[in-house]
Amino acid sequence: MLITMTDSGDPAHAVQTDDGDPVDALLTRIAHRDKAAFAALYDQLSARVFGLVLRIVIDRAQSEEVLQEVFLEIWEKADRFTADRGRGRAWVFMIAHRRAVDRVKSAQASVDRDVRTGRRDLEVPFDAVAEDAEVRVEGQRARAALDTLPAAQREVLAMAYFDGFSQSEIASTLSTPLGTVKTRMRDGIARLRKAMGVSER
Amino acid sequence: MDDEFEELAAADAVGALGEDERLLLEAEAARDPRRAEQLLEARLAAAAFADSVSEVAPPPQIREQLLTRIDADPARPRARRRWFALAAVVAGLAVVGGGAYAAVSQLSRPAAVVALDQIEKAGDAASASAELSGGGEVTLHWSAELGRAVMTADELPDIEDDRDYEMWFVRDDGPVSAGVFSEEDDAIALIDAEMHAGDVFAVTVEQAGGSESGLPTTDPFVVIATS
Repeated sequence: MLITMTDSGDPAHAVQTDDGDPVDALLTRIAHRDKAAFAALYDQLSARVFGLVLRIVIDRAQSEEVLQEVFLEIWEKADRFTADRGRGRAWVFMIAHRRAVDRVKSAQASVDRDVRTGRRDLEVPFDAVAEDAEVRVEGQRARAALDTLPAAQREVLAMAYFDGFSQSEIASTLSTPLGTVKTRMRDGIARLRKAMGVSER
Repeated sequence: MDDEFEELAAADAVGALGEDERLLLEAEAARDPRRAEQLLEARLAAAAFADSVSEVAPPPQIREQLLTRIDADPARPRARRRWFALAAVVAGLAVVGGGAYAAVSQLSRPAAVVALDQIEKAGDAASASAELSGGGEVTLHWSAELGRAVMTADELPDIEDDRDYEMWFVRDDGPVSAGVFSEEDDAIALIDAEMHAGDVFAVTVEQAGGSESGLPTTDPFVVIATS
C-alpha cells in the first residue's frame, strides 16, 4: 500500500498559537448551546472532517451521513470537553475518526477490503476549497510532523488510522512480525508526540 | 509495563486495538492519572493524520440540515436527571404524605429507585457517566459506605429478544458479573455484586439471563471508571 503525504504549504505560516485556541473557544460556547458557535465550528472544520471521513469511508453518501453524525455528536457532547491548549481540534477528529471507522467496520461484511483499498489508490476527489488560515496552518504542522516519521512507522500507523486494519492484519499484510508492528506504532506515536508539541501539562 | 502501556496507547490512538485490549487500557488509565495523560497524548499525536488529509467541501445542504436539526432538537433531558427527579419526587411525597404513604410508596417503587434514593442520601455518594457513540448515556451511582451501586441508562444499543445486557465489575483478577437487565431506554438496575474501590464498570450484550461462562463474551459498549 502506498501512503503519500503531500506538503504544498508555505512554511512561514507553520506557527502554533499557544493561547486563545479558536476551536477550544467555540466548543466551550457550544457546550452552552450557542448555535452561532456551532455554525462557526462547522464552517471552520467541516471540510477537514469530511475529507477525513471520506478518506476512511470512501462511499460519498455514507460519508455525508457520518459527517452529520459527527457534528450532532459534537453538539450533544461539547459539555464533556474541557478546553485545554488547542485540544479541541484533536477532540473533534477523535469523534470523526471513531465514527468513520465504526461505519466501515459495520459494513465490513459486505465490502471486500481489497476493493476498498483498490479504490483508495484512485485518490479521493479533491473539491477546491479556500482553506481557512487556521486550518492551513494546522495542516502544514501535521504534515511536517508526519514527515519526521520513518516510512515504516508512518505506514503501520496510517494503515490502522485510515484503513481500520488491526495490528495482526497489518502484520500479515506486510509479512512483518506482530511485535515489530507494535514497536513501530509505539515509536511512531512517540515521535509524533514530540513533533506535534503534545506535552505533559 | 511502561513499554506495554505505551504500545497499547499508541495502537489505541490509531484505532488498532480490539475492545478487550481497549478495556484493559482504559482501566489502567482510570487508575493512574499519569497513564491517562499518556493515553491522551497518544490520541492527540494521532490527530496529525486527520490534520494531514485534504479538505473536501461537503454539500451545502448538510450545513442547513444540521442547523435545522439542532434548532428543532432542544437538549434532551438525560436519563440520569430523569431518574434523580423521580427519586426526589417519590421521596418528597413520602415526607408530605406521612408514614402510611411512605410505606406504600416503598413497596410500589422499584428496588433500584429505592436504592438510588439511599445512595443519594449517603455521605459518600458518587456517580460517573459515559456517553455512548450512538447518543445514549450510562451512569453508575454508588456509595461505598452502603456497598450499593445503581446503574441508570438511556438509548442503549438495540439488542435481539434473546439477549440481555450484562453489567460487570472489572478488577485486576478479571471481570465479575454485576447483574443483567434488558431495557434499552430509561433503564435502571440495582447492581447485585459488591463494588470494590477502583473497580471499572462495564456493560456487554450477552445471551438472555447472562453469560453462561460467567465471563463477558462480547466487547463492552461502555466502560466507566470508579476511581
